[in-house]
Amino acid sequence: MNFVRFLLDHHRGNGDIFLAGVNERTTYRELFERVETLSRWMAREYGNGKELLLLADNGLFFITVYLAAMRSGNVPLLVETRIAKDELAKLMAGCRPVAAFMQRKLAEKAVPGLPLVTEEGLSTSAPGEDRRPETEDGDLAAVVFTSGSTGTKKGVMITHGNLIANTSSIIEYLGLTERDRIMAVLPFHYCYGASLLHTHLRVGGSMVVSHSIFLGGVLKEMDRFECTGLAGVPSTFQILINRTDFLQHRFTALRYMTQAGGKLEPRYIETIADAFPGVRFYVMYGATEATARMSYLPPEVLRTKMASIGKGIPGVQLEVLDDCGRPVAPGQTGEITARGSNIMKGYYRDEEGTRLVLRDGRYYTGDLATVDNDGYIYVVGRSKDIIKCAGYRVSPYEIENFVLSVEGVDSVAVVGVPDELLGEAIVAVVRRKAGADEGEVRESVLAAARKALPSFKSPKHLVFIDEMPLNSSDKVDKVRIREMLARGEVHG
Amino acid sequence: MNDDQVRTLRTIFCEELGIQDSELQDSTAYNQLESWDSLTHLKIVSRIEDAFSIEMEVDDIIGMETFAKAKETMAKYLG
Repeated sequence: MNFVRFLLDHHRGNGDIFLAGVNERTTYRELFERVETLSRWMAREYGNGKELLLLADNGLFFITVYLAAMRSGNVPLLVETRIAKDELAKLMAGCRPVAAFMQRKLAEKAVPGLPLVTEEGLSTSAPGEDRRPETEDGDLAAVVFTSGSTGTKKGVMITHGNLIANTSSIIEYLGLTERDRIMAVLPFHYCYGASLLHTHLRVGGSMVVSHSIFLGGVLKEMDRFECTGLAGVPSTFQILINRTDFLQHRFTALRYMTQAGGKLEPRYIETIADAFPGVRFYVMYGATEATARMSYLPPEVLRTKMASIGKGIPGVQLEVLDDCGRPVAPGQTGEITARGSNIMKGYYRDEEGTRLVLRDGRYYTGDLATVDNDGYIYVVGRSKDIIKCAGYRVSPYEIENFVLSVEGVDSVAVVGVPDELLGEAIVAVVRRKAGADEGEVRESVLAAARKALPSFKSPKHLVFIDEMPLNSSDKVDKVRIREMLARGEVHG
Repeated sequence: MNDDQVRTLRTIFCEELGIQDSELQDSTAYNQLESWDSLTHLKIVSRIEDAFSIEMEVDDIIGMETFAKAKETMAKYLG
């Protein structure tokens, strides 16, 4: 079945509000009509099975184009909006898009040679016959680009069946209904943000998109619009706790909160649970490769299974396997693997990468974990070198290459360290070239990074080291570097 | 605010936004410059708080959407 028909067909005449909020409002009926019209137009204009780049912040433009592209049998390519113009052009050179749908304010990133459609260009009429094709569950619905450990973006191919399966199980375990209204602070081009859109559309709920300059602004907005849910990554909750009166705030309608996108330290989880005894707090775990969600910890066991990511969501078999592919015994460490209808079709034009992570019908996450006697899973580390800063996946390799290009830098290792606001902060550990001035190198690196990199990729700290510690295979020993940073043996 | 304080504020904004001093106008606004996003905003606020030894109120952090508003807000704290 077509995923968008699964989301919208039963809302055809629904006059209820879907998108509430300060800037934009729309009812289900209006959204249905917009998507119908645009998808018919797209099918006539582009045919089907074509790739359409979508670059937009959260809002009606994103929602309409995204849904219409999938409804017309075409495939939206989702990319984070902070991508640099050159990087976007390079990424698109490896794809086959026939058009780019971009918000006017992002149009300066337009890809040369690719027809551009902005807000004003969206068709509001589509006369003539309906050329939209039937869609099967296995058909490609969207390609979501996410950062890989090498710094190159990987396109995750998600099918209509993947989206239907994951949306259904998230609705089931969160108990979402048409009375739910979510505060959306996470971007829709990110699988967690997209899952909010999907689930609330399906159940007939509603959402508020916040554009506040500071997260503290959402507290009042949640009361004003009577939000029942808040979804965040670790930094969302850390910023709210450390920089606002979140813990003292008495929400008027809040029923539940969800957290995914990396590990939130138990002390924060406990603080939240203590402050909001009547609000259900869900710790969850997921990946773009699994459409969005793989596990959740039921709020009932939040305190007794503290720091666990829980167990597989309905329809997902989550297992921790050892090197031989056998389930680990309690207390042993292995790799988290998942089976289910939500697992991606593969990486876009990357058969080798796909073979590495999709084996024997399982998705190998690259996350290392243990299991307790009751089957609850605890993440203990990552086998892939990735930093999660403010919920974004950042490749240390990419930042290392950038820092290396700055004058005076001989070698560099980039690692993530725990941070009170960002979840993980990026630290560049630099060995200077002989004779290079410490102050000058620091200033050049930080200034260059602020200028060229989006805020979540910029190193927060820069420290100098005389010799890089090496491991047995003569590679920079990042475990040792993290230890040295934690013990204060190197500092800026 | 005295001249030194304005200079400090300008330096913080220019460094965090990755722009030259000549590019920073009173009208420079959040969301108008791509580098001024909510994460950068938080970094600017932290640096202002450190530099002037103050703690900003949530409403002031939210209201500081242009450089002019930033100066106005700081004048309130610094007198």
